[in-house]
Amino acid sequence: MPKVLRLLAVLSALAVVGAACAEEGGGGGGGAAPFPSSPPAAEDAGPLRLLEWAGYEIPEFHGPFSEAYPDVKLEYQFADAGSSFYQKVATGGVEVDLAHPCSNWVQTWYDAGLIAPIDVSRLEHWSELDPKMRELGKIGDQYYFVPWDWGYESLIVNTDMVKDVPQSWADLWDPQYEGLIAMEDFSEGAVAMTAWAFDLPYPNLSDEDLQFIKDKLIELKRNIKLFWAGSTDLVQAMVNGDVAIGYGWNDQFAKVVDGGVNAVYVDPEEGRGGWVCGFVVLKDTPHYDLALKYIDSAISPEVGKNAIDMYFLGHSNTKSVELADPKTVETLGLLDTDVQARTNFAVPLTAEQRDTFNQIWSEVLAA
Amino acid sequence: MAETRRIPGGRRFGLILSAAPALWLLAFFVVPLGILVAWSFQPPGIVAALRPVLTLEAYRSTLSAGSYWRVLARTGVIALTVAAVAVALAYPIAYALAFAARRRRSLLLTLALLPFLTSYLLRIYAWRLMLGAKGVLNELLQAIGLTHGPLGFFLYSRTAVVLVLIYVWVPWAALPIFLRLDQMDRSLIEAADDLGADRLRAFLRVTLPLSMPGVFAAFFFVMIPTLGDFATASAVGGSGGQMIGNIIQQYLNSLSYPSGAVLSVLLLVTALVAMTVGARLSGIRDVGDVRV
Repeated sequence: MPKVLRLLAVLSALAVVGAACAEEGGGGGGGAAPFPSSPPAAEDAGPLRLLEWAGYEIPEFHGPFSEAYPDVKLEYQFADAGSSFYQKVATGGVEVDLAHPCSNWVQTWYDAGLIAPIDVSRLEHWSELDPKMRELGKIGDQYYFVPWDWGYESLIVNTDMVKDVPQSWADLWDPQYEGLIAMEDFSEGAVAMTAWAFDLPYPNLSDEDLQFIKDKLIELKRNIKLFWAGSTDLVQAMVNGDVAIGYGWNDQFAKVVDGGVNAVYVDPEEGRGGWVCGFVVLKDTPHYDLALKYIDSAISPEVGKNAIDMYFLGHSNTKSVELADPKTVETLGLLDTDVQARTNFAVPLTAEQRDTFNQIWSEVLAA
Repeated sequence: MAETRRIPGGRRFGLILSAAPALWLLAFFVVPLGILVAWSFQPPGIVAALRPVLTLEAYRSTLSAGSYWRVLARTGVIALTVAAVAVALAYPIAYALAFAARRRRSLLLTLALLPFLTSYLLRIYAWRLMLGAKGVLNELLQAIGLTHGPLGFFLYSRTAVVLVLIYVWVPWAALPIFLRLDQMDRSLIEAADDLGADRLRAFLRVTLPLSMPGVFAAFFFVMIPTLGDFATASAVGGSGGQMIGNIIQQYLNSLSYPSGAVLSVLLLVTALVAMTVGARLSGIRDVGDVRV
């Protein structure tokens, strides 16, 4: 036994030296970035500073953490869009330990040198997370993002107003839907949807692809009645019968049905879209270990149950659905593993890609 | 017409009085305007902060998109329509306030301004309830048998934008016209009457020409802010009713400040040109000509 121990000691010493060498390589590709050092959570009095979406500061979303670290104060700041999360941190306007952006922004945060890799070996619940969502935040060999909440993006269709329910994203261009569609005012969603409809490799699109997508979206404007920005705008327009087809999330679908509309949530041939938001840890945090403990609490099934039941969100921990209200799980389509497996979850974009998509979308809006 | 007479010590007193507002304007209008223009000379893209570079690239890439010129033209047409209709509707209100209201005048003036006690956004949203497929207007049309199904073009359309903006601006447009009419020398109308002009003729030859500076002031009062409006178009405009303000907002929301700044500068220049042409056409040479 001692021999084995000695061998282990030598090996780990080698590993440390190896890691140090890689570190000296200085981010020149390949080398793994170090995890920030910090006191262990048990010795860290906090406070832990978070940049969150408004409404996500409720105690139900951090129960296990507060039980384990009752003396650590949680200090919240808020942002209301992917761009403002990034802007607030990138300009130094807010200083936080943890932030809650979505998967599509992770690459931009990483490229700007804002975030630290996440030591997933310290996350007890990591192995229970949806494998597909886990990989969204993997850059090189390290994870920079822990998925937390998610939802679908697909078509909500009022079956009283539309006889032929669209079966694919490509069907949206059918002239029979003239003036019936509500589209989200969201460049990435519009570009992605068009790419799926015409079998183009989103998000790595050539200049010709992008020109084609822009033309197609301008063509689609004939069928688009309105662009919605706030979640309730779509629900209201569908409940009032102003539009028959809405590009929207599964929680909006639940609310539209709740509003008395006979509606279906389409499962397009090309697969649904999906958004995933989650946690990133800021590079300069002095509370790294504590931040990981917070994340571990957030991705626990008991917190996931609250996310589903209270906010109609999907949760990254696959065990959460077992605890949640079966009716909510059913309405949101959270157990449909087939659909989920074919879902196109939002991949991280570079700043250039996002900028190009925004440019296209602005021209579509103006056209 | 009274000559502007010099008041002893007026110049110095005027300078002292205007120092605070001038500083305020400098800090919160001129400087931000300068920052906006500086942003327009940055390379286009998602940028977190100003960098020490100067390029016309954002102008080139933004102004070469034909759709932006079309949306600017559409915005101009909307602003002109709204201003013209709002002034036409406001004139009778101003006339009634100035000549017919007499003792109830302050009550009526208060009533005209009452809607402003409610938030602008709230009032725009209320229009959705009026114009929608299940809205008051459609229900009414169906109840009296004029239509058999809901009409879709009332809401989420260019019509809706024009309608709501007119509603918002009519009370504002009435104010400068009212003030002009109120200051008018009434003996001129009596003189017209004595000289045998009937009421219509007296109105067309005396009252209307004398109130024209108020009318022009009202017109620009409405047109200039309408050019830059985006809240109305985003709430009721739908896919066909987007204005240039919405495109600017889209750029700013997505942190593409340089392109947003270019369009803002374009809008600013458009407004300046419109005002210059308007002033030339209306023969206003001096701010003193515009009594509000």
